[in-house]
Amino acid sequence: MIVVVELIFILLFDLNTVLKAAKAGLKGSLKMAAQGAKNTTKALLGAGRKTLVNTGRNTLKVGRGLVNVGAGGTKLTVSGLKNGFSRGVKTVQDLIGRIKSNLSFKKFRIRRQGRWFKLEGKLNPWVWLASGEIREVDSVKGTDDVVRNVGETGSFAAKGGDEVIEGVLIGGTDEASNLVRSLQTDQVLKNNFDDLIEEIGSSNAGDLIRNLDSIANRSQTLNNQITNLIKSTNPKKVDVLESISNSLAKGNIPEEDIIGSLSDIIKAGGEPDLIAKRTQEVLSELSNASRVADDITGVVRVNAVKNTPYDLGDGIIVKINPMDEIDALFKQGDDIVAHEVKDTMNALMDKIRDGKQIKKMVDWRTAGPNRIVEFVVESEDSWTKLFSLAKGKTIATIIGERKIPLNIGGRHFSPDDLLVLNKKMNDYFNLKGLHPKDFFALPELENLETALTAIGFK
Amino acid sequence: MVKQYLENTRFPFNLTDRVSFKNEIEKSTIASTEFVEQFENILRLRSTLKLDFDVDFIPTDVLEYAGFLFSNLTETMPSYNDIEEIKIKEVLVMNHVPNPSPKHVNWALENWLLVIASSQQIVILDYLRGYFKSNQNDFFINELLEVIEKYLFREVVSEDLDILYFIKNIAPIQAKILLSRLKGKSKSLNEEIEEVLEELYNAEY
Repeated sequence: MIVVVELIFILLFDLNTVLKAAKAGLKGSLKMAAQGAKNTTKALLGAGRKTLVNTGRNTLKVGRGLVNVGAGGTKLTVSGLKNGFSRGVKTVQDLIGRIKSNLSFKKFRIRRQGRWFKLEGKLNPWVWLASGEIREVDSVKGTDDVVRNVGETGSFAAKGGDEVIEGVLIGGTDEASNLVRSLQTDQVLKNNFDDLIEEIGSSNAGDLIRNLDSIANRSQTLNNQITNLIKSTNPKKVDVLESISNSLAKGNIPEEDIIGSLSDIIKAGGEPDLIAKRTQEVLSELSNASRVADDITGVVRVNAVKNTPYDLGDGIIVKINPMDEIDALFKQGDDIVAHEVKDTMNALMDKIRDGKQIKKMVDWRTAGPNRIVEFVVESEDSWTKLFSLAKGKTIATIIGERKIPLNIGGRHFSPDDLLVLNKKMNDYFNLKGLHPKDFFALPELENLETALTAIGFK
Repeated sequence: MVKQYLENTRFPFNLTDRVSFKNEIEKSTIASTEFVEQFENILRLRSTLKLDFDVDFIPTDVLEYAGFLFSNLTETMPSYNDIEEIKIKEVLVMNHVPNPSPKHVNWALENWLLVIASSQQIVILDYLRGYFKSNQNDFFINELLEVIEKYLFREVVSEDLDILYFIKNIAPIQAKILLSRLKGKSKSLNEEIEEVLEELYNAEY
């Protein structure tokens, strides 16, 4: 089934005048916009004098994700005001951008009511900016027999009749998307989803919807966890959903591990600082796992825990004891690799200062052949904490002495590299003769790459 | 103070940086008795030192990066015979601890020696783990275990996961006996001791 949206009216002419009219106390007129396109036209034409000059037709592209939700997964096209938008508006995002730059709308949304949609901007209350009819067409092929992609304009044969409709194809499938089916069957998810869209703004919802669509309708447990995440007050839930979507797309990161990561965030519920901290950790862990998944053919286990045998493929089954948990476990060539992942060097510093995990990592490495352990720090932020003190030594020395490699922001340091780096930084420190707080505030040390050059590390 | 440490401990090798030290111990001419002697020296030295890196008389900013201070002490006094109070003071001043008092000097000396002992222990245990993988030398193992047993209830052993795992790996049967004695008596590692014992019993050594 294919649907066409006919855009029949929009308020996008001489926007400054509209704004002035609104500021001049014409809220009543604007409110009338919600009552219908014709009323709005009259109201604003009457009140704003030169406010509205054009109600002609134009064609708009509507982002696929934006409309898929309301349209039940059907194929959608838009045909609209042909004349009014000759000033270069080509997409809904573009349209919204223009409106945003001229008016005080903070949010936009597209709502569907039966066969009609409305584009609305939030000016307290929501103001109807445009509306259009959604129509079904027989095929994604236009009347010229050329297949259109989503977003492309054309003439289409309306479903169940001889009528030809001008419009933009905004959906190309007859089946409801995973997300739509989930929303149709899960009222709690739908309510939370609506709240989330409201929270982030419909104009920012495209990526979210795409990510949710790739996640939805998996196991019930994952669906439940996603519902919980959406419901939570976690400020980074959109990032988490994207990260989960990316991880699942890899195919070799088990869903149960991702559920485990989500559980960790949800279990941290109640304490905002704890949620934020754990969320950032999970994002780093999933990001690292996704990167690893690109480089290997086997499975990547995320958040492996002790006493559990993990099958890494090729007959390799391994436990992580005596480590309590490890953030990534996988087989790479003949090696079995364990990654301890942190989001920043500050977080790794805390782990090293505690001391137990690094010793357990070394013992795990000793306990079997071809085992490799590595620290991964996702961000360069606070990277100079590599030289802070832990039990009398710098973090770099401790890791280097234990013969563990370290990856910071994608840059790999072997254990020997770390010891050389430590020496070079120590020499630079002595050369400058500055107090530590002034030394580590030097601009050349802020960024890892410029620092490596400054201290002469090759 | 320095003299006291010199009397309490005896280093067969210089207080050199870890690379030089590693080269020394990996010389094939060194007898197992020398390893045992060195290992015992390290445990003896560590047991006489306070585990006190966090102090209120060193400015926080300086303390945060004192890893450099200790490295500079090693560079200034690469040999055990080079240790002098005046040199320690010079390094403290260079590392932004002005007018160092005897308290500052003692802090620097004790913690620096602890750093060196800890690094040397890592090198020794690492080397021995590799050595015992391909050499079953019961006499050597027993000598090392005797040293560990001597310090079993001191923090240098009872609070050191490296040594507990080392025992487990080189001598699982004797480890069951030693760790059973230690069970419940460690301040921070009782859980780990229980786990190692469980692993050893499950493996039916």
